[in-house]
Amino acid sequence: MSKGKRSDYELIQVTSGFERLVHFLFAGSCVLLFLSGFGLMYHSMSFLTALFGGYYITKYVHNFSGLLFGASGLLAVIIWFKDGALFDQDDILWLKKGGGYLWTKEGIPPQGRFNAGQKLYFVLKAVTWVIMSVTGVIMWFPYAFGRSLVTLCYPLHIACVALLAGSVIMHIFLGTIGNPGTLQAMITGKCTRAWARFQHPKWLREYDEKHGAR
Amino acid sequence: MSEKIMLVDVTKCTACRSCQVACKNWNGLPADRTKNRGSFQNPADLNPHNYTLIRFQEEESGDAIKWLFRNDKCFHCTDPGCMKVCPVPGCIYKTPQGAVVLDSTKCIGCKYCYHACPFAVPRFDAATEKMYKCTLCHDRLAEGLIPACAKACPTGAITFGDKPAMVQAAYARAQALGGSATVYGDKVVGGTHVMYVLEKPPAAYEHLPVNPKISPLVFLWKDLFKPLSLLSLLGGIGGSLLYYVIKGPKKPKFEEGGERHE
Repeated sequence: MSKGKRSDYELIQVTSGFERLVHFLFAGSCVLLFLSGFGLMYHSMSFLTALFGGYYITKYVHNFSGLLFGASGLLAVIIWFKDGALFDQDDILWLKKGGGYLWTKEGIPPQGRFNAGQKLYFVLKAVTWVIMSVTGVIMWFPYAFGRSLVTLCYPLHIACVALLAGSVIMHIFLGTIGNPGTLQAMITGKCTRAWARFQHPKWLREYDEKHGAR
Repeated sequence: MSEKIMLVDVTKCTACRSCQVACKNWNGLPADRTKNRGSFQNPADLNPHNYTLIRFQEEESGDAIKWLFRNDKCFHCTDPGCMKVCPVPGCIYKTPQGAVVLDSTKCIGCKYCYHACPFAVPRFDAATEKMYKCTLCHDRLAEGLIPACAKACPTGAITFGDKPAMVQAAYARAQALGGSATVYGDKVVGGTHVMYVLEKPPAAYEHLPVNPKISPLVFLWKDLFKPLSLLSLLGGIGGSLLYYVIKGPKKPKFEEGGERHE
């Protein structure tokens, strides 16, 4: 470590091992649910059910990855609630400016551990996690519930798919090739100082305060 | 292979249950142990081993009891809700004669069909994890035979034939009966292939919806949110790729002065 100015290439810990475990359990369940769910929803995507070994198995893959989704989703909501659910003035301004992604690159307010877009994604995931889990259980065991309640769950479940499908794809894009340096934060848990200053300057300030900035 | 109608004239039914027995016989369905529930109706409801059933509805007038008999089974809708929601290709299909067939061997037991059916007909067998219902004896129809229940009916309460003739016969019979006799089936869910001549208005019969409809929630599910979810998926993929091509990645700037160690 050089004594003077700290290197932009210095790797600093940005996510914990537990966070990454929860993330990939949740993400894995989502991938399985999307593949099996779209296979069951569209006759034209029957190749997806063939992936699992037929419709009968696909139904159970969907059911049981739903259990993983429910459990890992609960952990995700708990561990990221503080980072993801609380919006400040900078976040609102960030959203107004589209995060610098679309119509402007100027005057993007500094962001904390999650930027406002990630917070929005967290809220969407948290809300749909509740709806998906509740409607999913009811659809799995419909005879334990009333006919009209079950029938209401079907469109609710698929409305959440409509909200999630595009958002998840965007999440994957933004977390990988859209923002180089981001993926390793979820793989190794580390990011470069330059990346942190560029993406999450408020968080980097907190980090340096905590770890004794030099 | 013209479109057929099964016409059930409830006024001719004596509740002998030949239809129930013939159905079990043709479809190879096992007998169920039942119990006395204080009614002659047996079994209590349609179930995976009983595709058809005579409902014994009791009406008291003074000291006397009058029965309303009704042969109940799948109505074989022209617009079947069950087929609309079934996730497995070829599991529920229509035949040229108008039968709506549920191929239980392909069923995965999701129970969507039960909830989308305006008449709540398909039944789940927990032992096999599959749904079952009347097939209008589509296998007999394919051989030029009439359904087993119609074949067995001794009073002519269940008849089977070409659609125009049967619809005409239904209205003629209702008119001949007079009073509040009505025809049921041809004007609901795109026209059913099991029709009734009822002695009384439909509302008088238990378990018979006056205006059967596929729930609007099913249309919301299958005709709005389902295509929207595909649009969302493709939009996400297309949008991301387009963004990457036009605007490219957002790269952090690395300043000089630091020592590089990767």
